Amino acid sequence: MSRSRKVLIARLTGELPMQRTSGPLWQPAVDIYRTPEGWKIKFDLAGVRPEDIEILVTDDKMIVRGVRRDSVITQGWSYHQLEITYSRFERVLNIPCDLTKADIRIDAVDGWLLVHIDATE
Amino acid sequence: MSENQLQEKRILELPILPLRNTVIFPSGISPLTVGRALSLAAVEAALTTEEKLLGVIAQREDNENEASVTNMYTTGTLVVINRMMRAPGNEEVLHLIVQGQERFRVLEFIEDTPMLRARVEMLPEPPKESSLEVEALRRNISALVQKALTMLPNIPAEIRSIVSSQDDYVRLAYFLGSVLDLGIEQEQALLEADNEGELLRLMHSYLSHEVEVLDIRNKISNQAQEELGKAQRDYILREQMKQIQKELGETDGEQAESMMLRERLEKADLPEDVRKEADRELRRLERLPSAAPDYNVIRTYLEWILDLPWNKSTDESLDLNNARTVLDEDHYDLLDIKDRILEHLAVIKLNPTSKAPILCFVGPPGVGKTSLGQSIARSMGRKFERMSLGGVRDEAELRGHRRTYIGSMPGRIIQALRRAGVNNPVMMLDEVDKLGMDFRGDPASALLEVLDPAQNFSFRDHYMDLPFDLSKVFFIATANSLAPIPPALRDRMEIIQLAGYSEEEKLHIAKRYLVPRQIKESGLTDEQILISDKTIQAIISRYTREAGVRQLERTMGKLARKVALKVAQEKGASFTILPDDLEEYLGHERFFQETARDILPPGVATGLAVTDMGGEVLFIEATKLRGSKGLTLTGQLGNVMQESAKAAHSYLWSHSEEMGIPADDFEKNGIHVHVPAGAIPKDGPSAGVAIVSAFASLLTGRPVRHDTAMTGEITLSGLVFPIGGVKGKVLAARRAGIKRVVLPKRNAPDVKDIPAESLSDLEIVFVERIDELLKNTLMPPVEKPAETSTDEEMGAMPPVNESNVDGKEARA
Repeated sequence: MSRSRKVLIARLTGELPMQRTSGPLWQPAVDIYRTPEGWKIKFDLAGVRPEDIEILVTDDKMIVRGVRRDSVITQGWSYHQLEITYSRFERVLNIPCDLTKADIRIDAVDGWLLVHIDATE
Repeated sequence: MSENQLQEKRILELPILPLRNTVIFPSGISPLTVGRALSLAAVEAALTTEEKLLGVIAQREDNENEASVTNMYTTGTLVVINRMMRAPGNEEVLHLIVQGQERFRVLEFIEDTPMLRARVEMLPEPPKESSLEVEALRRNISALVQKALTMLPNIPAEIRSIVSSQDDYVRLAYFLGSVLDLGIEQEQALLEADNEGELLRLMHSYLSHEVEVLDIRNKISNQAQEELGKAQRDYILREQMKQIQKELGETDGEQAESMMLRERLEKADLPEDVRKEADRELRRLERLPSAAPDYNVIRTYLEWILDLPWNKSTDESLDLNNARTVLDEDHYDLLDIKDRILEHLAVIKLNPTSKAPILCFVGPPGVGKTSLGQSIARSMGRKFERMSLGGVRDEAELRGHRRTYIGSMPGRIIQALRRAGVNNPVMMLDEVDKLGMDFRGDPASALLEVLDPAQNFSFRDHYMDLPFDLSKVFFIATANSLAPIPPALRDRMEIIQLAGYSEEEKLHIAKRYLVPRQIKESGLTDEQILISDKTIQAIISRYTREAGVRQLERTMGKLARKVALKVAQEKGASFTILPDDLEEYLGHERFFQETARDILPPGVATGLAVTDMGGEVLFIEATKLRGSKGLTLTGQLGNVMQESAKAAHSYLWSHSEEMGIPADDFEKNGIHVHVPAGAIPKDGPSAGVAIVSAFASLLTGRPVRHDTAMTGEITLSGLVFPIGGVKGKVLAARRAGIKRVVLPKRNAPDVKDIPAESLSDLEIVFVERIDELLKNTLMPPVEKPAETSTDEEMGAMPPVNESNVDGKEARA
């Protein structure tokens, strides 16, 4: 479905699974567009590899989870300053459309994660 | 390691950061500062990982700085390092912000240098339970949290909302664990709780303890606030009031008072130490609010200090002539007193700093002691203060009470000085012989200091407690008799006797002072009433019996009033009062003068006595009792008189031959001596001569001369000793119609005190020995057959005593 490496999408029905105890460390910022075809959702996920992203979809909610890893650091380097948040993130969105019937595609471009929702409502 | 394996056992290898004094809970965000070598290494290692994961474990509370495998707990928290920076200026110190993720349990420590590493097993979140107990715990915790929030108004709104809306109690418990002030052990216990129930139970107990402490803290704080608030409020209000008053132009009430006192203090003329004391008291006063109980006490004291005339005195009027005139205006005769006053004035003129005299006037009532004092004050131009000491029993009346007593006041002396307004008044201490003396104190002794010229320059009243100079005060004490006055007191005063007045003196006084006064008093004029000299004399002798002139004045007043009545009833314009009219106006005669008896049978002699009322004539009556023995004495005779009688008896017995008395007269016959009037007590030795004359007359049968009165003390060896009260006795004799008075030779100087006119028709005979006496008093022997003792006239011979009589006793 996507050009980049695989992002796992799962459709769920019923209840959401219980969240982890510690909860997500950070939440990515999200823009939501309304398009003639449906919806476009853009996540700010710089530095997050597609295989580290998981999207869960229910009737009207979308959950995006994942982990950001520091892939730059190498042996011999030590931190002088750390500001960028790594590790787990999660974001829950309410989309006012019936997602079960919609067509969902994902693109990862320039650090954006784009989710295309074609809703024929 | 995949995050999807939620339920499987997850084992990780982590660098371990040991924490001191804190536990990090899952989801808890916490800043950390890392500096220890072990910790630094662990953090650096964690930072090199992709996910910046770190394990933190709390150190046991051993106060050991260095962490080691042995002193750490085994349950810790997996954290992610959010932020990190090196401390500016010190690269070896890192500041971190971490967020807790999950709990783990250490399986084993793999490394301990350069850092700690461990293999850990991740623990699941304590599973939620649905038992009733847990439900109850949840609700309790909720309530406690609400209660805590109400007691902590400083909590920001976000936290409030987080806490209030939290329905995941595990998360809430972890949150509370991080914000409450719990110890390491307790926090660690929370971390290690493996199920909700245990977690909530622990949290509940910690929370209720915290809430209780908060409660009490609040209560204490509220109470303190209240009290503080009230005191502050009052102070602020009072300050505001002062401001308002100042604005209005009225200064504060108490301010005004202390300012006024300070002004007075500046102006007052005070001795140095008094000023210092007053200044000190005033400063204390200024510091006190007017509501303080001490305020009035201090203020009263200050007012007393300011009112007393420390240095103020009237100038002496040193015009001696004027003084003399004034004294003569007010009083008749009393020459020696007048001379004394003038002498004092003269001395002051020459030596202004001489001490004032302390006089004591002793005399019967009504002679004018008090009015003399006023006259003296007038003549010297000084203020006059009078104080009656009669019946004063409490020495605190004179010296005052100490300021510690409620209602204390200075004593009478200081009070009188304040009234006088000067420090050199003439102060009259009336009735000083009537001072009481009992357990409450001895006021007479209190007077010792006051009346001692060597001591009274620094008289300390108990209330004032400051020395006051009394040496300029002219003290005059008055008394009716000297006997009740303690000797120490008597010694400090100059005693001046004011004997009663003779009839001539009374006549003069009446004509010059009493009659005009009474006429004026009753509103008559001199033309409306005329009283002749003879009338006055008659009144003096037949309607009054006194040493002074009070009764005389009253009688004059009575006359004047009767005339006034007649004038008012328009029964006449002018009335002359003659002696014969007296019966009509005043009633019948009150007193009969004891006159000389025309005929004295043998055994009766005329003696002389002195009473408070002046001199008196007494009769000594002796009679023989055949067959009886010894001497019987009646007539209320005192001991001295009785002894006198015994001495007379013994003398005659031993000299019976010379006298021509048969010796066995004494052995066979008793003698009874009696002195009328029987009700009046008599004492004193001066009736000796009268007794011996009566005895001699009785035994020899020769009567005593009826025109002769005698007074003197006898001794067993036949001498006649001097006595006192000569003037009064001589005047009494003259009043009674006696023509001759026999006195001891040594009393000759006293006779000079008697005004010449009183002695005009009296013959005075001086004797030294009893035989001389008898020659002068007994009739010459008559050639008659030896008379058997007439038993009729056995007069008891009461010794007539001299010396002052107090009250009723007659002293010859």
